[in-house]
Amino acid sequence: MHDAGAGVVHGHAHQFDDAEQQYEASSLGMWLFLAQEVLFFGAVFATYAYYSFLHTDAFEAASNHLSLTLGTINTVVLIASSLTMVFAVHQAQHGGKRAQIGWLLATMLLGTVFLGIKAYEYTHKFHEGLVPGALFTYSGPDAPQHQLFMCLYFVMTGLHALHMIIGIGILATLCVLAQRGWFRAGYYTPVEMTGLYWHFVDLVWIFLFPLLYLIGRH
Amino acid sequence: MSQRAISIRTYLIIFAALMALTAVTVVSAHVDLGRGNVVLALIVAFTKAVLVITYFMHLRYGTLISRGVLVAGVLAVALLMFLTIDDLRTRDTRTYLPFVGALDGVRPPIAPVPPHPPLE
Repeated sequence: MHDAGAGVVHGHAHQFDDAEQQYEASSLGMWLFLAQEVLFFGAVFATYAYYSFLHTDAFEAASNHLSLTLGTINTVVLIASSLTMVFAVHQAQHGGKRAQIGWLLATMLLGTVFLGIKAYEYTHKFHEGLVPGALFTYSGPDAPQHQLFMCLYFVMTGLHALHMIIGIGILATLCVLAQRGWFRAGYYTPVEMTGLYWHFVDLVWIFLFPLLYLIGRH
Repeated sequence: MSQRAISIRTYLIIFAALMALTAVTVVSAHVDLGRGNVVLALIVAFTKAVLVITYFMHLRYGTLISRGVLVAGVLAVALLMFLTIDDLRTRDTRTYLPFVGALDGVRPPIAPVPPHPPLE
């Protein structure tokens, strides 16, 4: 076990010419994964585009069910978590173990704050009768279209939150590996790849925020 | 590693730019620009996305093939979006959409098909 790990940590796996080629292979694999994530979320965004084109006015009105303040705070929190993530990668590049773990923990903390605010928003939607299905009690104009909007809201933010929960789990794993001394200035690929994943989750939110929270404010 | 490290200073500048763009998009959402609101919000979102991808995700120093993979993914989604919306825009209510009312106001109604003349 230790020997197998040591081979990877202190050099490169035997199928690669050198560490750089190994890094580029990992990077390409991660970008391929992210490209299919783009397609995955792209399908959900296309569904949103389809229905918002059919029910433009109702969707703009339904957008006001969401709290702009909480949405904006979460946008700031998530972009800040991307900043702490690049700091963690930066420290990994320069071999700063303690600072790297500190920034990873900061990223996890900000991610948890985001999820906490999201949970608070979800709870409110239950109380306000805005959860699609049997619990939906809103009966104003265009109620079916409002229900459709809330359905898309829960699917899109739910899938996004699921990605964040997975991301926090990966960050926790990185903290343990960093503590055990897996990474050094010449080898920090897992930290860099996790950074790519975390920033991608941030990117999804950058598009979700205006489409869900901002379209009906004027 | 071949990739050059980006300085802390650059990261902070990009973070400040992302915050400023967030402020722009939140403030501009309260001004009534009609359809322009969505267009502006999406332009700001794409700008933020490019900043994150270029600097935070280091694609500025990424390999050509990594960039190609991302572009391929984005183009596939663009194609999906374009064909979906184009289909919706150009549907004929005589052949599709029994729920014609859903498109009321989106485009002018189409006259019903006249009966086919009897065959000889």
